[in-house]
Amino acid sequence: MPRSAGLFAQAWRIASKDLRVELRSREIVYTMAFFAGLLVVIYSFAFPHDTRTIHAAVPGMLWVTIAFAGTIGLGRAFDRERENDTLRALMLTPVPRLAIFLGKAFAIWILVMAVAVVATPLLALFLDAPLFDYPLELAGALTAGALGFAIIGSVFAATLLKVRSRDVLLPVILYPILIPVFVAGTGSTAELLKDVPDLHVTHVWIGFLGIYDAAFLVLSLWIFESLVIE
Amino acid sequence: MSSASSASSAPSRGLAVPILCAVAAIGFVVSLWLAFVVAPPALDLFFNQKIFYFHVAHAFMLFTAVGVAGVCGILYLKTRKPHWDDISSAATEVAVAFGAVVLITGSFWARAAWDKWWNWEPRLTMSLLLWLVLVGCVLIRRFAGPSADRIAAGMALFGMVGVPFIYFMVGQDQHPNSGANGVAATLDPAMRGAFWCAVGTFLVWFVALLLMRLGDTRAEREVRELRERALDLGVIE
Amino acid sequence: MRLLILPVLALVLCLGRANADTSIHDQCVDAVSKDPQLAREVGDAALGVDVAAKKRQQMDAEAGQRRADQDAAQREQTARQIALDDRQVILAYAAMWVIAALFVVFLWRKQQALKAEIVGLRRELEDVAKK
Repeated sequence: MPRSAGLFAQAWRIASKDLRVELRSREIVYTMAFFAGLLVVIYSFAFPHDTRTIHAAVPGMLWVTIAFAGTIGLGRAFDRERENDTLRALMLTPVPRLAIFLGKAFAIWILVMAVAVVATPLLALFLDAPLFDYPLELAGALTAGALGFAIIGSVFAATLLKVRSRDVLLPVILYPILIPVFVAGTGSTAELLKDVPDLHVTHVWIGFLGIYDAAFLVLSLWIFESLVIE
Repeated sequence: MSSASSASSAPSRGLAVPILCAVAAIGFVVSLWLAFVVAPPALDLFFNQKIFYFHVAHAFMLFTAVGVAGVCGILYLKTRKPHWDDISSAATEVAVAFGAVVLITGSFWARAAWDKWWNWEPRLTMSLLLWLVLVGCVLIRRFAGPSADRIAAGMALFGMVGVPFIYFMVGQDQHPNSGANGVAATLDPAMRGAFWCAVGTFLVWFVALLLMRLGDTRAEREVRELRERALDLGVIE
Repeated sequence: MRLLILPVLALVLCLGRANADTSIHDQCVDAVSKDPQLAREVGDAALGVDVAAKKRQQMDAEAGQRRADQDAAQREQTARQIALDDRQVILAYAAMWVIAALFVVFLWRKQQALKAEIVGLRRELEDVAKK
């Protein structure tokens, strides 16, 4: 399997390039994290301050934060490739398109996870939600959900790169397709916040997210080259 | 190749739409008769159960249309033959129309069965989510410029693959769902005739609408080609 | 009215027993043994239970029951009304027709506009070709 090993090595190289660019400027991470923090503050004003309501709403807030901040980061990450037309340069390199897709998706995944890492403690702090009672399950749900977001988001952000109104159209495409991710994510997190959580429910939802990610990863790998033709 | 085939099949398509419409009209009258006269009244909902025959038939067509749009989306992305894109785009728009009927009649059904206009009943939820994907597709086609065809085809494809996930998700979810009446499998045998007649009718109607919409798409393409030629010759600015 | 008589009757009963007025006593005993309800009330009165309060309570309970029955009947009637009401069916069918008609009209108008445009463009192109 030297070819597939090469594919992953190339994907890793592209991802590490993206992450290194990000680590040097820290533009996306800072703005996304700040935006996520702002959203949490807005939630704490927008929702009634009674413990039951807040606890019932926290899973939704967490996933809405991920969706909104993630969309901003996604748009910016691909804008960066557009500004100097570097995606064309990337496409011209003798690297399979799949490696480009995998590398991009991996980098986005890390960014979305960074948002989650910022937003979760903030929600727990400001809204006094017992989010960290089951850290393993929470981490599993967030990882799987962020992966689904990164996969589908990378496919469509890449296809929208040359479209003028891409900032408006990206959520129009992404959110209807990603509704299962958000429902499964909130379902699993809501169960963890109950007084007596039934961990089986959480595991079913995380499994659902895993299958969803796998199905759309396969679909994206299969269709990416046909979708992104420059 | 596509232009040649469209040119050769043009006269037959001119006849196909009226014939299909006539068949659909006859089928509609027959299924109305079957639904209101022949089929026995339902025990739980009485007269309101008559919504069922057409509501569920439209839902079937919604799923058929999504399937057509998704499969033609794949074929377009893989082969780049523009007629697959035409079919995909036509099927998407027809599916939006059928989906609107499903949602509105479903809402009336919910009002009759549960005294609420909308109660997140699983199948209705599923139709709503699917409909959102389709509306997104139409918006993309309208506003995404020159690469809209690819993006919309990809979105229809992703939406189609998402259907089983939505189905599972909606079944798992804790939405208030009261009672499960109105599944084809548990239908009273005396009502099946009316139901399947309605499904057949709307299948014909679906194909007729699809062909009508396809005619528009072809005309659009012709306009675009003529415009380009005119621009080349300097006839129009 | 009967309610007011009861304490008086009880008093009379007690007096009757004390005075051993046989005719009233026998009458009362007959009445009480014939009507168990009256017997219970007389017993309560003799024991000092507030008969009026008990009666009120009972009436309240009966009224509540009646109201609940009414509610259930009302709800059932609403359900039946909805079930037999043909408005939903008519509206659903109307919605189906309206959407189908709008879609067809939309398609038809688009087609007419496109046809007109094609004819116009063709003519212009032919004019140019002739020149």
